Amino acid sequence: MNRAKATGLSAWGPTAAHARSVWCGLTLATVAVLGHRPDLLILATPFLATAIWSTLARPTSPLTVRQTLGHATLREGDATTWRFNIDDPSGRAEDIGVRLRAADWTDMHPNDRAAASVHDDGGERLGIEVRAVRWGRHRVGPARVVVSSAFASFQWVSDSGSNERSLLTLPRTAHFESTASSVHRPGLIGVNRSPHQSPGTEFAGIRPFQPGDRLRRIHWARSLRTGTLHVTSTWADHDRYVVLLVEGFDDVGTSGGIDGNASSLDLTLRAAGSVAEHFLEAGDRVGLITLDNRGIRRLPPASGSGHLQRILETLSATDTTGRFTDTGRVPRGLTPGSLVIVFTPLASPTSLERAVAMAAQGRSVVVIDCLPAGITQQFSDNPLGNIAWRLRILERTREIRRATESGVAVVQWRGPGSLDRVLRDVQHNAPNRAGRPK
Amino acid sequence: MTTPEIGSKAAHSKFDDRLAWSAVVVRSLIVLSPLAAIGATWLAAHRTVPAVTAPVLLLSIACAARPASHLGLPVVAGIAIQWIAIVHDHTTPWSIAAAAALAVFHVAQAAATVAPPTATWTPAMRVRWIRRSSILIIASAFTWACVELLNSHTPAASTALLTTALLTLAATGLWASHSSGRPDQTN
Repeated sequence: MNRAKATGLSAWGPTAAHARSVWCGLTLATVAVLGHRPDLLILATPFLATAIWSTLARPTSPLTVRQTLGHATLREGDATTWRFNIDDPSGRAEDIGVRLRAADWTDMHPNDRAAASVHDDGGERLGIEVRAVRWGRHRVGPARVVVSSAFASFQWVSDSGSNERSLLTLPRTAHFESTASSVHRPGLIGVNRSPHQSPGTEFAGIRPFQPGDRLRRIHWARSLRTGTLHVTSTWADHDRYVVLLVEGFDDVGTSGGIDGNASSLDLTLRAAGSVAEHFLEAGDRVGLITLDNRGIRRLPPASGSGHLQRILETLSATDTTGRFTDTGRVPRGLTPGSLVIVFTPLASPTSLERAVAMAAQGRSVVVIDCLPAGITQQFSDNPLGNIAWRLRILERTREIRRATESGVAVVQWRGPGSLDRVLRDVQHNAPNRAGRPK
Repeated sequence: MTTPEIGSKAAHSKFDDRLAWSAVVVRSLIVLSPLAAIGATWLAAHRTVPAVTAPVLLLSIACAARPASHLGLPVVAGIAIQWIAIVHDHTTPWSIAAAAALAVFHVAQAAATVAPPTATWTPAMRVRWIRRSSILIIASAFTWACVELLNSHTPAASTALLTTALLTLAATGLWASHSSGRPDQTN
C-alpha cells in the first residue's frame, strides 16, 4: 500500500458566500433601520440568519486529510481505490468535494469527481475507484479536496501538487496449460524429462545390462525369462532455461486498453507475461531480455513467483520513445541449448534475421508474431499507409517462410494455447544427442 | 524496404465532463431565483426597472458560471435597490416571496461551490441543503409576521430604539467579521 500522505497545512477560510451573507444582511438591515423600511428586514433575514448560523458553526480546528492509494501495483483491468480519510476534530465539516486528476489509461468510477456529506454519508472515508486499463507506469492525482462547513461559509482546500502517486500496471497474463514436452537441455536436474537416458524417475524401457549399470536396476523377471541380465532404464530429469526476448521498438495499431483493441505492444507484453507465468509455474528458469528504443534490459534467469513479478515490472517499463537503434545483433547472455522465445510484431526484417542467427548458433528459437490481426484495416483512412502495410505483409510472409526453412518456428499469438503447437515443433526439431526415438 | 509508418494511437476515451444533475439544478436555481425576486417585485409594485433588471439577469448567469465569485453581491444589491425604489407597501406579503428567492439564490450559489460540477450529490447532501433553505424561508415569513404585527402597533419614533438597533447591527457585524478569521492553527 502506498504510504498515506496527510495534508493538514491548509486552513479554513471564509468564502464569498460568507462575505455575501454578512454584507447583504447587515447592509439591508441598516438601511431598514435608517430608512424606516421594515420590508427590507424581511429581505435581510435569510442573509442575517445564514451569517449568524455559519459563524456559530464555524470550524475551530484545522482539518487533516489523508489520501491513500490502495495498491501501488495492479494488473491491467484491476482496480484500486484512492481513499480520503478526514480527521475533523471540531466535527463541523459538512460537505466534501474531491477531484482526482485523471491519468492516462485509467478509468475512475463513478467519476474522477465525488461529493459526499462528511457525517451523513461517511464522507470521512470517501473513495474513488481507479481502474488501470493499460500496462505501464501511470501518474494518479493530485487530488483537490474541498471541505465545507455550514452553508459553505468556510472552506478548507487541500494544497494540491504534493499528493501525486505512481501506479504501476502490469500486463494482463492469460493462463494456459502447455501440453508440449520439453526441449533439449544438457543439465541433469529439474522437473522436466530430458532426451538423455540416465538415472531419473520416468520409465524409458528395458534393455540388456551394460557395464556400469546399477544392480538395483536389474529387471529380474525379464532376466529370468530371457536368461540374460536386463535393466530398467529411465529418462533423466533436467531443468528448462527459457529466455524471453521481447522487442518493443514499435507499437503498431490502435490500443484501446484491456477492454478495447490491442496494439502490437499490448499483444507482445501480454504474450510474454503469459509465457513467463506458464514456465515459472512449471518450475523452470526464465530470463528476460527487452529491446526497445531506450536500449537493452536484461533480467537474469531465475524461477519463482517473485521473479514473475520482476519480469512483469520490466515488461511494463517498455518504452517506444527514445533513440536506441536496433542493429540486429544477437544479445549477449544467451547460453547454448536455451529455448529462446522472441516476441515481436515483425515490423522490420531485423527481428527474423536475429532469430535465424540465434538458431544457427544452436539455440531453439520460437518467434511469436504479435502483429495485430487486420492491421491494414486500421489504416483504411490512410491509403498510402494501407498499401505500405500490405506490401510489408507480403514481405513478412516471405521472410517467415525463409526463417521456418532455417529452423525457426514462427507462430502468430492467438492467446492461450498458441505455444503448444510451436513447442511440439521445437521438440521435434531439437537435436537428439541421446538417440531418443521421436 | 523500410517499415511503414507506425505508431500506437490511444483509443482510450476519458470520462465525460457533463454536469451532474444536481449541478444543473443548482445552477438553474442561481439563474432563476433572481428572476423570481424580480417577479415578486413586479407583483408588489406592478412595474420593474429594466435598467436594473437586465444587468441583474446577466450577472446571475455569470454567477451560475462562477459561483465562488463575489458576483452575487451586485445581484442582491440590484434586486434590493429596485425593491427600495419601486415598492412602497412596506408590509406586502410579496416581500416573503422576494426574500425566499434571495435565500434560494444565496444558498444555491453557496451550494455550487461545495463539489465539482460533475460530481453527483448524495441524498443526504440534498436533504440537508433543502432543509436549511426551507428554514431560511420560514425565518423570512416569521420576520414578515413580526413586521406585520409591529406595523399595527407602530411605536413612536424613538432615538433610543434607533440607536439600540444600530448598535445591535454594528455588534453583529463586528462579531461576524471577527469570527470569520482563520482558526488557531496550533490546535
